[in-house]
Amino acid sequence: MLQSHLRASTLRGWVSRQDCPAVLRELKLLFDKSFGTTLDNHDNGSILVDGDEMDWEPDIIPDELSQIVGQHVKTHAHFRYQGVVYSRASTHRGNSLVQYYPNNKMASPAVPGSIQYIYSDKGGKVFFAIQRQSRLPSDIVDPFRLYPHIPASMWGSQLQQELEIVDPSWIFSHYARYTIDAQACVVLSLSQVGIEIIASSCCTDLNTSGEYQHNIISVPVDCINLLIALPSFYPISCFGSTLCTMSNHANMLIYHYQSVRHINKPST
Amino acid sequence: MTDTPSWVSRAPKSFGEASAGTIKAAEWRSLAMIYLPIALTLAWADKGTSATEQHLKAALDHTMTLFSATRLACLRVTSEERIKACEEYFIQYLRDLQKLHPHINMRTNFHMAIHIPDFLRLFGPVFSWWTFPLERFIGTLLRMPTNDRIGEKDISPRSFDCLIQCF
Repeated sequence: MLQSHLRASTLRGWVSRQDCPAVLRELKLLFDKSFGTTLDNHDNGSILVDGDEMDWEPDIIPDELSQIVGQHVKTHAHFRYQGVVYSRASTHRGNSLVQYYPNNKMASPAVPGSIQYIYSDKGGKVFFAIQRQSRLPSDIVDPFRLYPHIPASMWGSQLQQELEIVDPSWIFSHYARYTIDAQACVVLSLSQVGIEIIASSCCTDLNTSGEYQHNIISVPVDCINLLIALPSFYPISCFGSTLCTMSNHANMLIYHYQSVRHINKPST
Repeated sequence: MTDTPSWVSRAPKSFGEASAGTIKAAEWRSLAMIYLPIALTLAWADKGTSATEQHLKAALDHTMTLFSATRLACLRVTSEERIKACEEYFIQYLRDLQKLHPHINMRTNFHMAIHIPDFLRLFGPVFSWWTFPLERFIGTLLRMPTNDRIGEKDISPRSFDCLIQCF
């Protein structure tokens, strides 16, 4: 039993590597499809629109959505992007809670909001219509401010009325929400990388377009979609030179990084 | 109730009671990362000035030190700054442990926790070397039907299922 577990783990590691023969990777896709394990979508920067993953509905567009995007869209209950499932609030409230960069600006801090609608336009491109969490009333003190490394903060428990249209690639992470009362709720980021690294080291390396640096090697798979979304003119900011030590996932992550450069090569 | 995405493992409903059974490693993790920091902060922070409330506030600060260290240690990207902060949190937690909870004896685990920052420096983020895969394997083993005879071959179709689960 232990041996078969170890062999399966080693095999799994091997088929995830860049130097694995293409035929084996093809077989892994078939294996995943046959046995229903989670699809590994990391190496695919495009949005997957898969019939199995999306519930199509009749074209009855809610008024508040049609006022912004018109009638010629289709709404969906779920959408899988880069291996993560997002849902609208009426279907699964937890899966609808996302932190995102508002107004397509990476420089602004990520704000929490709840996906109200998921829709695709004529070209099949999918967008989220998100209502932002309202600000905390000024008379309430946030007790989480004392703990800088706990990514929790208090927000208003109501959602703003306005719908914001957000591209899935501008989603930063999911968050957990605990509603205290009618005024306040706790928002806890579920990001597994931490915001400062995404805003600093990745951008620095992507924009210098110079030599490939070791500190980028340990960037995990789940922030790749943000790298792709980075505009090439993003200002360079360096937070530290010694960022990561090399992990044994190095090869896999080098591959991801190089693919990012290929997709979004800086013009300077 | 805390709203969480479907990929977050749930906390046991009867946490703290005997009926909750053994808390699994993944459950401890989501408790320390999500549920306990929210619950304890809301319950113990800034409630008043009496001796009991002050003690609870100190206990909260102390526990949050451990949660901060855990979070820093579990991030999928690490840096020297993060490792140093994690180390300081661990040391601060152990130093205050004796003051706040003098009845607790020091255990080997406490000593081992101090070494985690060294391993972060050596091997990188814990994601690539933590033992959750083996924990999952133990879970698979526990769920397997056996005939209680050691040394005989098990030819149940579950063996193949186990292989698939490894993927």
